[in-house]
Amino acid sequence: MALLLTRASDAPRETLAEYAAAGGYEALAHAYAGTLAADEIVRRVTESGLRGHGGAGFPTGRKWALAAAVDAPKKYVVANGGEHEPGSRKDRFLLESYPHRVLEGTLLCARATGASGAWIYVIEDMADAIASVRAAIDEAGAAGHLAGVDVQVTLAPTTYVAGEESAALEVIEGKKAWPRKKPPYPGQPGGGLWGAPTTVNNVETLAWVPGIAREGPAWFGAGALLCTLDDSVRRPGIHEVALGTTFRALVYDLGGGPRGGAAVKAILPALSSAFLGAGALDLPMTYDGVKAAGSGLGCGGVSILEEGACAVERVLEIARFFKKEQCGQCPPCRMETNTLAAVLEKVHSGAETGDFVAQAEKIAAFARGKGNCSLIEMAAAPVLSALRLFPGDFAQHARHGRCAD
Amino acid sequence: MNKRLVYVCEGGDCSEKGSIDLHGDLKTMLEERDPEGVNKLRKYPCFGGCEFGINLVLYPDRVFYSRVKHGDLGAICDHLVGAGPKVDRLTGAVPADVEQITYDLLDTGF
Repeated sequence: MALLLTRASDAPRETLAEYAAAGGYEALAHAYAGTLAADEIVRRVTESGLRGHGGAGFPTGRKWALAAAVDAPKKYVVANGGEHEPGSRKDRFLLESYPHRVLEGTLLCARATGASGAWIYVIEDMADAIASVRAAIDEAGAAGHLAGVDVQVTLAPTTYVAGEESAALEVIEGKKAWPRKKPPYPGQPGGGLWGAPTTVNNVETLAWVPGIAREGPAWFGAGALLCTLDDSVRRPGIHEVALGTTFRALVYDLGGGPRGGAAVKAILPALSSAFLGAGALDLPMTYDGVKAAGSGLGCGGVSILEEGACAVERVLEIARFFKKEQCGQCPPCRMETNTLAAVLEKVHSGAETGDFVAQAEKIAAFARGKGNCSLIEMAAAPVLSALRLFPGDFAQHARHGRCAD
Repeated sequence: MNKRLVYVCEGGDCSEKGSIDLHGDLKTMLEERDPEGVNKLRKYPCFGGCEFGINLVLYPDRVFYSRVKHGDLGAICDHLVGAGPKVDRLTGAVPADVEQITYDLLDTGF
């Protein structure tokens, strides 16, 4: 039974009255009344095992505990809806359809960490989400749920890196969407908004919080996440899945299987993750399990490659995306994204390439650990994994400039 | 003259500083002074030495020129055609690891 996506997928925005009827704002009311202490909220979130759903998977309770422990005159919270990864639409969907869950989660975070101001960060082209969030803030304000917390909406540019948490802070401060050098991290003094410690959470992460705070950590069970299946399957869409669900159940039972009807050749758990071979279909989707298999759950924008599809073309498409979307701030990232794309362009066209596997590995090794954000790691993961998984595809393209007949 | 490849960076920063025009000017000069084409001129996607651009690399010499301006092309061309020394004042600017990865990649045929 769904815990978060409890309404029909095409239902209109959940109103305050509908949300309240489902237990909405109960946890916040207890927090304001003093019957749910700030440290108890943090305990419940920690014990639930909730992790960041923006891609990094950092334990949310630990982040909140660190923020709560910081002694600072001002603290802030940001709900990060900068969902710029192609193939992921769950944050947009939550903001459009379940804005009060995101808002209550944001307010609970503010309460738990001692923050007095909150920003909901939404991409500027998400018109329905922006309208929905603004309506929810108005409704919650009129009902007294904001309790003095100043909640604002800031529009994010459409560039990929604008969703990175410190880039979001820059945008909120009115600057260019460039990731900051870390440390200090946003939650630390000097690292957040105008230097104040700022807890930045993904929108989906926050949407899970009200249920956990209201019902207790056991409500979250083994954990769950929202996955966006793209049109590589027959039934694309956003699905709530329990952690531990296999990729096979996601792709076949929920997604209807590969669009073209062939067998799965590879799974891409997120655009910025490593490809997994078809053998991973029966791998349970858990943070540690997918990591041990050499990839990551990322933001859950799952895509598959089916037998007969060209791995080189798919990887080149991804490399072109990162080349275009790197912000230009860090030279190693520029070098990495430009040269990886150039290597793959040569392989794709059958131009003379030399040892392209060694080239890609050297480029990735040079860039690893450098740069202000994790895009530098993201760009390499799909390329290196595909080179390992599909050496035949790449060798064929490098020799003939096309796939095998 | 030794056969060599001459790479001019066409990455975002270098191209903003005029590397595309500089490549064109160097091409014109080499067509005149190196009609046999001993020096092959190439464009390179990005060396990662962006703040030191315009960058230009000679291979297999393993020479990394930085902050190259149009006014440096005469001396560079003299060296390329064997009529002058390496232009030392344009070397040594980029971090050692940037030079190394560049040569490593060129060694693999990139």
